[in-house]
Amino acid sequence: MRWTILLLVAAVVLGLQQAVQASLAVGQTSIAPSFAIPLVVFVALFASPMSAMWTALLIGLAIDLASPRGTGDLIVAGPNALGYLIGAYFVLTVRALMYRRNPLTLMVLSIIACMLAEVFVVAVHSIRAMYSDAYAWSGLTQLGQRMLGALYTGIAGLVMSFVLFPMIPLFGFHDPRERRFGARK
Amino acid sequence: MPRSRWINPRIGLTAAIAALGVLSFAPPGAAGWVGAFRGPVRTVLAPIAAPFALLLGLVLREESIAASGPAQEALTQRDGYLREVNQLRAENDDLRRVIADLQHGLDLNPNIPVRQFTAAVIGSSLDLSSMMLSVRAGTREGVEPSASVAVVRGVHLVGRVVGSPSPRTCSVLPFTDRSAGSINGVVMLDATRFGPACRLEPQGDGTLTGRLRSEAVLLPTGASSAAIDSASGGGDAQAGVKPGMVVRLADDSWPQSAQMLELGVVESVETPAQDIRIRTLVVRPKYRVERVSEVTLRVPAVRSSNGAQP
Repeated sequence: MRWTILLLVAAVVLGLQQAVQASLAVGQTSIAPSFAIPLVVFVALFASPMSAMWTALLIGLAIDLASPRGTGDLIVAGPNALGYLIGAYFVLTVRALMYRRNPLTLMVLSIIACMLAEVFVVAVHSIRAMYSDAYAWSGLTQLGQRMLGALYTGIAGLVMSFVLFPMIPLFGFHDPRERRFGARK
Repeated sequence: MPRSRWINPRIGLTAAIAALGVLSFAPPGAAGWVGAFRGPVRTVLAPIAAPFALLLGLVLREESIAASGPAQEALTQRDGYLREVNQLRAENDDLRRVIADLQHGLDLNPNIPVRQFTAAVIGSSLDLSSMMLSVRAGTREGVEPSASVAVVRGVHLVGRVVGSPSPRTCSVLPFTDRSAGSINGVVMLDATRFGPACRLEPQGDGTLTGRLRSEAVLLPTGASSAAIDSASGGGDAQAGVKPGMVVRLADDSWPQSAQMLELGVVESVETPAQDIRIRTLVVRPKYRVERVSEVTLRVPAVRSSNGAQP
């Protein structure tokens, strides 16, 4: 996999998310699409397991570092990074059963991966809220909103599939099927 | 050989997972150093997000239309004058009190002068559960945490600077964020008449809810709020606090220069069935403060030794 291309695309996707996420949100809630999750799912569909997991960890970490909270401007590194890793791991385990180049695959897997990631994020912050009052946190409200946000992310995944799939040659993914018969193209 | 055995992506990933697992649950005091890595991420994302935000601004012209045109300018000017009138009136009351206090031999702090300048919002939190804004102004411009507040359109409060500002950037926590905590305000019965005071709690959906104070309280500006009975015209609830009335900041924990800034307008007033003496209200800011693209920062102006402003 070409890491330079991936990092460039990830930076653009995160920039896009930062700029438009609040505008696409339903009212003033956390029900908003994630553009980073479909990218993580896309990489997990085509890249080697190790590359996919590093990608998920780095993109999630970037989101953590760009999400300050509370009056102390606190950065909590980990919830999104590990949440995205869980999402990517799920995709890695089921990708052999999927029609990987179908846009609907990216859409459905984005929804499920997003749900898994958000459950972990909510769990971490809810546990933190038990011993720290550095920022206000309402676990149940956030869980409900983020599950709806995951459905919204599915739409973003469907739209992004039409941009990402034509870019597959650019990413230089290693296709595991190429070595199935001991020969490479 | 031993080097390649211990340094490889698999072991690196395991170590990273373990480290992030610890950091996820580390208390704020132990994980504060992680904030140092926020700067590089912001530096990379801000210039990429800016063109998208610009494009979005062209598509969603709602805010930009509201910001332009002579009618809007006149409204902004009117809001500014109204705030000045209210603050001057409150200062007048305060000065009367100061004179009375001085006559009693009390030593009082002089008013803190304020410097205003506009600054671009270069980013918001990637996690929408936090409404934090990153603003392109820092300690070089004199920004100080807690003492500096951000407003939009001159008089509408956005929030205040939190954390440790860097030389070039700072973080503004909107007062509508649940983490910002409760805030005291006063309902304006008309342009210049103080109504009852209220304590408002941000709900996280952009609104603030709270109870109207039934008794008259001394506001930080020195003036007094109205008692709820006098505000309702001697028991006539219809003549009291109504939807559409402006609520202004009157909170000791905020800088003196920020007092009387506009929090929002009353969206609804209700009397809970269980206690008819209590009146609750919902306040909504006129602007979505977490979506502004530019703010005016009000920072304390440092006095030189002879008392002249820089």
